[in-house]
Amino acid sequence: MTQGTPTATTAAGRAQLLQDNLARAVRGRRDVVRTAAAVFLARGHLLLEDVPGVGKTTLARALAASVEGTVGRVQFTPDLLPSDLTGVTIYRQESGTFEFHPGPLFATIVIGDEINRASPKTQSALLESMQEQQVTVDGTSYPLPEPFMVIATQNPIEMEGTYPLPEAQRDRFMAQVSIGYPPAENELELLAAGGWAPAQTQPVVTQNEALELIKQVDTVYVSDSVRQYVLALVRATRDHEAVELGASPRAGLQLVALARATAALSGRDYVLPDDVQEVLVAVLAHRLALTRAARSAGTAAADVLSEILSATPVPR
Amino acid sequence: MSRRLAALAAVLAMTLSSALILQTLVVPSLWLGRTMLCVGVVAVVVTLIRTRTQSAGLPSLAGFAAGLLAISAVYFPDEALLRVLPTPATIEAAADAIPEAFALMRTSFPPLTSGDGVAFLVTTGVVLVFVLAEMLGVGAFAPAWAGLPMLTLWAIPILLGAAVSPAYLVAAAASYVVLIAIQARDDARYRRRPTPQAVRTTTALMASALVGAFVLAPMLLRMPVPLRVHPFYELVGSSTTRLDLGLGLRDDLVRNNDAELITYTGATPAQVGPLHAYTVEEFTGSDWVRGDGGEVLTSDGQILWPAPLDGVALGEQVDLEINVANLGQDRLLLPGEPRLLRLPADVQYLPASDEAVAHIGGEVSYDVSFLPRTLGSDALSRLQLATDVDPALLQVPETGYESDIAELTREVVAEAGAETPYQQLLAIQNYLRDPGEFIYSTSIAAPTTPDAVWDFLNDKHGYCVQFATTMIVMARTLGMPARLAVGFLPGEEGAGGVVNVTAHDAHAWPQVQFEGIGWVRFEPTPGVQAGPPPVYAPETPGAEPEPSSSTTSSAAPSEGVSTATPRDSSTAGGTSAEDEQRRRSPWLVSLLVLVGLAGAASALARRHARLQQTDLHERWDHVLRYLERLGVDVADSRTPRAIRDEAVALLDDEAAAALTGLADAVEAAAYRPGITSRPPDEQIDAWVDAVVESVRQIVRERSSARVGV
Repeated sequence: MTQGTPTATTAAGRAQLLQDNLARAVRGRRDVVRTAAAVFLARGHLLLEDVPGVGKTTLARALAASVEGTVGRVQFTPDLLPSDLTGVTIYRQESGTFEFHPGPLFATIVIGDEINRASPKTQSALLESMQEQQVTVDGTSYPLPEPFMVIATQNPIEMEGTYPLPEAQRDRFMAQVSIGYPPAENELELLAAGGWAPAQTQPVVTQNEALELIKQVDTVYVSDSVRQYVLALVRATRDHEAVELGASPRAGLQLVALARATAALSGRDYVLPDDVQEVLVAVLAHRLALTRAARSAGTAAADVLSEILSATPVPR
Repeated sequence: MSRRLAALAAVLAMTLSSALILQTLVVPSLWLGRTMLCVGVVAVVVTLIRTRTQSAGLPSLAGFAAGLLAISAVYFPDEALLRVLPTPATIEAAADAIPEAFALMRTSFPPLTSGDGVAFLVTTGVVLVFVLAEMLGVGAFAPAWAGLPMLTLWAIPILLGAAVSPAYLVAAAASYVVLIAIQARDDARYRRRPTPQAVRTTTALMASALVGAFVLAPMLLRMPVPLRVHPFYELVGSSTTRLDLGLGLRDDLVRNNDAELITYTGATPAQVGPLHAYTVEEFTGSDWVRGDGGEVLTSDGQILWPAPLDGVALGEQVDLEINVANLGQDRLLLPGEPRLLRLPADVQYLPASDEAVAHIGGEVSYDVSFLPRTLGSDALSRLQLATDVDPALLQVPETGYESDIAELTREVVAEAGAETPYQQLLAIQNYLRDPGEFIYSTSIAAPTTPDAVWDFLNDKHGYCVQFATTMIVMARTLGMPARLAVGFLPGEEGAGGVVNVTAHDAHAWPQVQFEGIGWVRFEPTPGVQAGPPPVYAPETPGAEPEPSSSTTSSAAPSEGVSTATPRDSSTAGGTSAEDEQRRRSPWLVSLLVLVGLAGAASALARRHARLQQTDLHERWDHVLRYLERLGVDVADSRTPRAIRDEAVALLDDEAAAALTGLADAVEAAAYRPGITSRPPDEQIDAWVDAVVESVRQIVRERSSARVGV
């Protein structure tokens, strides 16, 4: 079913290399790796929410290492200030001018560890730069590099001294994935090896190739019927009885974008409903606010979404 | 592919058997061979292209183009380049042929026996019907719709009331049903059972169609002309020679069939002229009244002619042997010239009405000789009309419109510059024969005035009785003794010099009495029905459409009584504009036809694309119902790919490959950009069959395994 131009095939090959490189870092979770790669190709940002020690940071670092470019890494703490992220303007006495010192945000891949530990003020500085692809310091705007991706991790267990992201802020992340515990055989392997081999130091995708791949994703065809399907799914989340706050229109947009990237990863130049189904939970689960009753009944957003999936007919 | 060819053959059979019914309207020798040739060319081209492409409209368009070439080569080879390729001159010739053909059809009585233009029209129509039916029935997969073009062929003779052979109906209907059956064969396997709602809708539609047919049909038949269908023919069981022209001028002419009624030998039809049976003198304004016999002359061996013959020389004697198959009336048929009748027993001659009364019936044979008068225009111009005549011969019915008729007659005569009685009569005859003015028609419009002649002069549609009566009344307004003769046209010469006269030849014509020579026939009925006028009364050379139409428009009785204003409103200025329009209209029509064809083609292409998609989905649904038996989840929330992935594990390799191909095709049809080429029908059918067969086998094995346990 691999159909498309030779360029697409090469692009698919590059994307495959990227995925393979990531899979070396996070074994046994091919799906997570695939989503992470797709989010990168769809110009999105990724939220990794999981218990400590399953490899969130490893994945983020592996992605950063696989793509040629700079890596910015920020460990979020309660006393982290917005300027620690964006950078500061310093007065140079010798020249008598102000000089901008870019912060860690000025990188291709930005890893934000434990984003929920920073104060809301700092969080929102990060999220705004994610949305606008630029940073404004002292009235001057500085564009962020391209490609640009934020991988944020957060730890749901240690709630003490954290500022969990409100739903509106989560909406800015294209997808959220949980890595989860590795399968037993992989874990055994891990124990034997004393840790995964560190991600390759040599990036497998150059910056230009990455931009090329991203452009390719934009040209992937989405038929009207698939768009209708996305619309039906998104609207179904708003009408579902267990959901207090459904998916936003932005969620729909990002669902289409990520489905495009997934199709490109499969070497297709058109989107199938299968692509939409594949990324639906990753894109929508972290945006849904369930009702109190649903939460107390132990319903997860992923359950609601799979219920919606099985109730929505696939377009013809 | 063989299915498509079979469907094509069915369309061809349907078109040809429908075309054959046109022979009741136009004699087949005129068009049948050429039409077969052209349709054959189209069929060959369409077949060749259809076997090489999946396109719906392309083969039909190519076939249509080939048909146009064939028509151009067959009908207009002289104007065509290399005798095949149409040139502007071809189109000019075609444009000229069409109005000619229409004029001929308007003024003649079926079946037409001449006219290349008519044959050209028939061939073009049949080719067009074939192309359309093929495009709908084979190309667009809409076999039922292919009946519509076929119906247009049937509509023509049926609306004209012609007798159509049931054999052709059976052949055409059978081909039509075969076409539908062929095209529906495959779809039937995938069709769902009709829903109760569909059944209800169909029943309601059928019921309303039936009610509509019963309620509407009588209403339609009661509609006034022109919607009313008038019968050209009436099938009669016997072929009795009963001359009943319905001498009322208000009646439509009901024609008998073309059974042979009379045969004669001894002379050609042209020599004999019309055979007359009886004459009538008294006209009421709407009907002729037959008088009683009067003086009877029983004679043998003497010249039977109701007038002295001192003013004319008689020609050589011509002997006729006349045989009447079944004489249903008591008048013998006689040539309209002085004759010598060897009277069988019980035959009387009535000089006043110039009739031979025979009190016999059944098959009658008799010999009659006649001595043709040498009549010429010069001689007739010098002759005066008879003066000492029955006053009934001069009587113009008093209807209130006699002065209008008289005024029109004076204008017609003055316009032609006629002075002598003969010239005046010629002017009247040729005024009525002008095809630009009067049109031969067997149906008569509803009366608008008490005077049927005045109605005819305004309506300008009628048959021989109207033409003859009008000429008589017009002549009488000029004081000429005239009467109506009723009989038969001279018929057609068959094998061995035997001339056949059929019921079609029933005719009526005016006679005018000249001093010294007696009754002289004139022929105001148009040539398409009555043949050429007598040699002594030729149509004047100045009778071309242009001058005569301007003549008649000024001569029309426009300044008559207010209630009877003629509708001829064309002026001399309007004529040239009309001419121009007539010249341009074929182009306009061709353009409209082309635009229409293009629109239809694009609509068909869209329909075809949609059909292909639905078709594919129907097959996919069909396969899903089988996969369901294997326990595969085929819920409509699952994608083709997901279903395929689940089912492939259960099927054998061949079926798995088939299912993969099918799922890919479904996926491509639904989600890929643009119009993608999908696998050919045969491939899809093969895939479907492979999967279905595999599932059946698995289900059989499972059930036998269960039994074994």
